[in-house]
Amino acid sequence: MKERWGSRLAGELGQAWAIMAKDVRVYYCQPPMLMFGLLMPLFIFLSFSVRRELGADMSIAQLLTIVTFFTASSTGPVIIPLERRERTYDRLLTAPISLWTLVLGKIAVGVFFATLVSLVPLAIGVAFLGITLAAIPPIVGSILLATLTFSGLGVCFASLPGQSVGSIMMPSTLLRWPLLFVSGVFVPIDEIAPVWRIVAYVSPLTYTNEIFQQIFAEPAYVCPYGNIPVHQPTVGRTAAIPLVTSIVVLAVVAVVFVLLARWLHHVTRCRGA
Amino acid sequence: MTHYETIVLSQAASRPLPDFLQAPGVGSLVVEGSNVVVAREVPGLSLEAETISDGVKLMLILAPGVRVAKPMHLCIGSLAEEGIQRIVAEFHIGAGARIEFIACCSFPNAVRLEHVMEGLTFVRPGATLVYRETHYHNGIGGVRVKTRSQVVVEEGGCFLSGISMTEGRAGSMDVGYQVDVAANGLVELVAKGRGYGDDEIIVREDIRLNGHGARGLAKSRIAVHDTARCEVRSTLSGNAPGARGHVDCVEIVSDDATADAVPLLHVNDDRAQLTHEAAIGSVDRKELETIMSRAVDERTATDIIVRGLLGDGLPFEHGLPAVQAAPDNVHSVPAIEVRQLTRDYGQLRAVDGISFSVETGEVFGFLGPNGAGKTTTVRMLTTLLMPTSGTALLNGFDVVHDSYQARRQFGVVPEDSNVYRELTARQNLYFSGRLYRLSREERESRAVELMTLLGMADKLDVLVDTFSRGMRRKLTIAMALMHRPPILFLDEPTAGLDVPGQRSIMDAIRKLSAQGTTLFLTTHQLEEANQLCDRIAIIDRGGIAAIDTPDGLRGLLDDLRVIEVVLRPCPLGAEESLAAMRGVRTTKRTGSSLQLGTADPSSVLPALVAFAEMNNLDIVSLNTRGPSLEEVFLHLTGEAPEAGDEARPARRRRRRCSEGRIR
Repeated sequence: MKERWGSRLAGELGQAWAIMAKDVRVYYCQPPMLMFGLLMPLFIFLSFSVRRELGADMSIAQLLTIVTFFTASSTGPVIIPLERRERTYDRLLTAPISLWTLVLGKIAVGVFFATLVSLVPLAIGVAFLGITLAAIPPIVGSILLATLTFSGLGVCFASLPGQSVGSIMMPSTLLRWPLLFVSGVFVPIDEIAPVWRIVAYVSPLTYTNEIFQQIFAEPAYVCPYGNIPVHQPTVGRTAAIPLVTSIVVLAVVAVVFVLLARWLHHVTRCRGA
Repeated sequence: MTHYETIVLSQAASRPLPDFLQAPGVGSLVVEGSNVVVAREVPGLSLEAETISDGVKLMLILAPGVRVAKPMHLCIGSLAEEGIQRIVAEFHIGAGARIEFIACCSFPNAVRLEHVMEGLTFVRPGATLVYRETHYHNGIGGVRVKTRSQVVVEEGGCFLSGISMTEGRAGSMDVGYQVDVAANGLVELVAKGRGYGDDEIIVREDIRLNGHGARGLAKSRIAVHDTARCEVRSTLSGNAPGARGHVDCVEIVSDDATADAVPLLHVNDDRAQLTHEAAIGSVDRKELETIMSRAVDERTATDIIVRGLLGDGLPFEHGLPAVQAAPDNVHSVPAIEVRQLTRDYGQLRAVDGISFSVETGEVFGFLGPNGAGKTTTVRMLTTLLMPTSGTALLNGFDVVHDSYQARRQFGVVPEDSNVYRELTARQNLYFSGRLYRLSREERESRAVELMTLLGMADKLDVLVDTFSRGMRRKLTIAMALMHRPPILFLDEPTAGLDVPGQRSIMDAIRKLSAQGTTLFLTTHQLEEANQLCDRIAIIDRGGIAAIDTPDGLRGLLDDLRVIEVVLRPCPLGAEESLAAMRGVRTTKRTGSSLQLGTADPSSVLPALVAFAEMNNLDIVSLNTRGPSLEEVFLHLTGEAPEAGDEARPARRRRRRCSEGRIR
């Protein structure tokens, strides 16, 4: 008997939600998740931000970039190999759910986790550094877009047929660390060598960084000094890419990563790995 | 208000009527007292009703081959306070026909009312009759119900009956069934009831499995409180080879209530297999305390547990038993059909064009040495791996082209218990239920039902990380059964378990088999396969070496008999001396026992006795037997089932066959 598409869609969404809720319960407090998703971005930020003359707003923007990038892209490479090792991933593959649902459920885990972690620097900024969030929707929207993109990237890596976190995390790290240094997070794009600048423009992290930097530089969104509606320019900061361009590019990349993740997992499944 | 409306509304007061019963085109019959209020036929169904002095005489005839799409509604009751209502009914379900009845028996005003039902039912070859009946007797228990039904299920027929009396007072209920089942027929009788005050619930079932491969299940779930009484007498007779049946009684008593359960099994053919279990007692204390820890008083907690046990709906409401899940396919489509299935890993051919089929309800063993292609085959059947070529169908659904539907047909119990240790058993089961889109109510009732079935009801809210290996194994099985799959793949279900654990899992497998679930069992335990499987396939080097019943496989080595002798003393080197005897093909020592393989024991025995006398040895014991399944396995594959790839000796010549015999 054919199932109606509306019913099927509702059912699949319910299943994706169930996968996400289960992963939240099972994996969010696992040591690899805390290591790769929480402590590592924090230490990276501290390592490269100490003694730099950044305002509170720009520090938080930078931290958000690092957190959304590292945390979201770590969940897939942590959770899926662990599930493969415990054979619980087979349970998902033999259930009557589409691969789309499975992939979207896994991406949602990363989005949810990274968004939660991203709220921490925001809360610190508001509570202790005198920052006022004048317009929350653009900030939250940017976080969601960035986490969606990088969670998709992480799930792409997780399609590699490995049963240990290290076997997936190693190639993932090989890509993520260089991107961190050529995407304008620590060194502005216009200060890096021209050849690396080309790489910067194909890196989604560049656009994420631009979005957060520009949102936090815009008084209409974030007031860096309490309620004073006057923006104090942060040292060394100029917009390299228009905000709208960055959002559009990141959205396109997010869609590409989601499609790619689904395709890669399909290939892996066909190979039976 | 008409009688019909009154009765139906009385019923609706306890449970809303399903919408489809009120839809146009649905057959219905409503009887109030001695009056037939509504009689609506559907094409192919003839309905005759005749008023008798104290009731109604009914005749329902469904023409052969007619499959009635929508359930027919039977509403039989009385609005009187006292008196008698007698229903004499005959059901004739023609060959290959199928119909489902949803019946309600309603006596909303009864104070001293007697309802007597005398039924005679014929389920012709290949026909299916599903009968689900719910009683509503008001809150004072003033009704006395007595039903006596005789049912004849002919070859390949199927009769599923469920009676539920869980709302209001039961009064006095005396339900009786006598069912004769012919070859490959199936009967399933489910009785659920709850009694209060001085209610009395009596269930008498007599199932006779007369034909080859007939299957039967008598299942009762009854809870009695106050001074109520229940009595369950279930008799099961296995009168033919391959007959399989199971009696399953669970009674819960509280206050001063009493319960008796007597499962009686008669095995009149040694190839029949009958099992039973009966449990009577109060509500499990640990389970009660677990629920009470959520700020629930004891009575409410007891009620929750009892409701979980009785289920929250009509019997079979959450899906028909596995064998009936696809009724149109039961007699025509095998549960598993594999044709020329092949899988290559690069240059290596792991599975080489194998073909076989597994019938619905069959327990099928899949044996082979390591690296023979067992796991690859199972992974292809469970959609985890794409075949290189060939097809595999599960209940008619292709595992490649219709994998979504195919996945709904099976549950998997892998060799490793793949449960989530960080979650409780309940959370694991609920997650599994959500993957298969069970409603919240279904998940809750099914979780309690399965954990009760597996004897772990008190572990529902315990973290799985604290479970023993056996408990995790059971939970894995429970998770695979949450959605009532028609087919269950079991990979080494008892591996690593202690003896009680193995026995408990094997009992669970037998129960599932008796309920009609098709089981695909991969195992290294040959004795386990011997005990459980209807047929066994032996796979070797990617090809099927043989498929047959355990007896049939042993028959493949007609020319191998074994003489087992225990000599005292048993000198070193005795094997070599015995091997030199004429007619002895093989010798083997196991402890103090020597096994001599020979085609002609009668010529070897005198020589053996002479050997003992000549060497002053006492013959402590001596017997001859046919080949064991292990010896057949060794003969076909050239190695023991546990042997690893690295240790594989040179193989004997490759043997291949299709179904049945070695070519």
